[in-house]
Amino acid sequence: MKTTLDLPDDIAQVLRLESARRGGRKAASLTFLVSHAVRKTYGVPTVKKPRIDLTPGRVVINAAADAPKLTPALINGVLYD
Amino acid sequence: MKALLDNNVFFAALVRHHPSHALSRRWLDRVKPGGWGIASETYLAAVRLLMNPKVMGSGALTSAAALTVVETELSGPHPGLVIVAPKRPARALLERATGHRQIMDTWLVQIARDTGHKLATHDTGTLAHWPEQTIRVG
Repeated sequence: MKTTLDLPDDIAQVLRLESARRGGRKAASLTFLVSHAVRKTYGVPTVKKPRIDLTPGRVVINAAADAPKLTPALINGVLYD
Repeated sequence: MKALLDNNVFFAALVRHHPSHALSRRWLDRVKPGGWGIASETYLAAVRLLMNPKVMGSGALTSAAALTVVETELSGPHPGLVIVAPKRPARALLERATGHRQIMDTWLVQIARDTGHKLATHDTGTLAHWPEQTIRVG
């Protein structure tokens, strides 16, 4: 999401200094630092990606941890959705 | 006889958290050398399911990733066909459906019959209704 934050001067200054300390915008952009701080403070769950074994002729997807328990009724419901 | 996989068998073979995964995966690996394929409808159903958070949770795939999954399964030493129905729906077959949920199964039975395949399915109703045109997976 692209948005605009109106940050107090002291916070903006901390972010600039921290970005510089880590090697500048390319290494640690303001977006990265804000996101990291929000995740750390509010405990945003990290996305658990599925692991996909992509062997030609044999694919197996190990689903994400929050994947629902599948039933024929659920699958049919989704396909007829 | 070559196997045309129904939606559930193909999708179950791909996804470990499907309750029929182990059975479908083993069965598909075993029959591939004899010839196999999926209807274009099954191809698209698999892509839809792989992209749907109701099915895959936060691991729902992008369209590009879902297409790669399906195409990779269809590749390899025993590649699968993607079969586009050669004929229009046959009234004589579809009239035998007793409910709306049987229409797609019956359509897949027709595609299998018209292309020299047997429909591979777990569905006991389809197996009982079309014993000559189906193979039980398991």
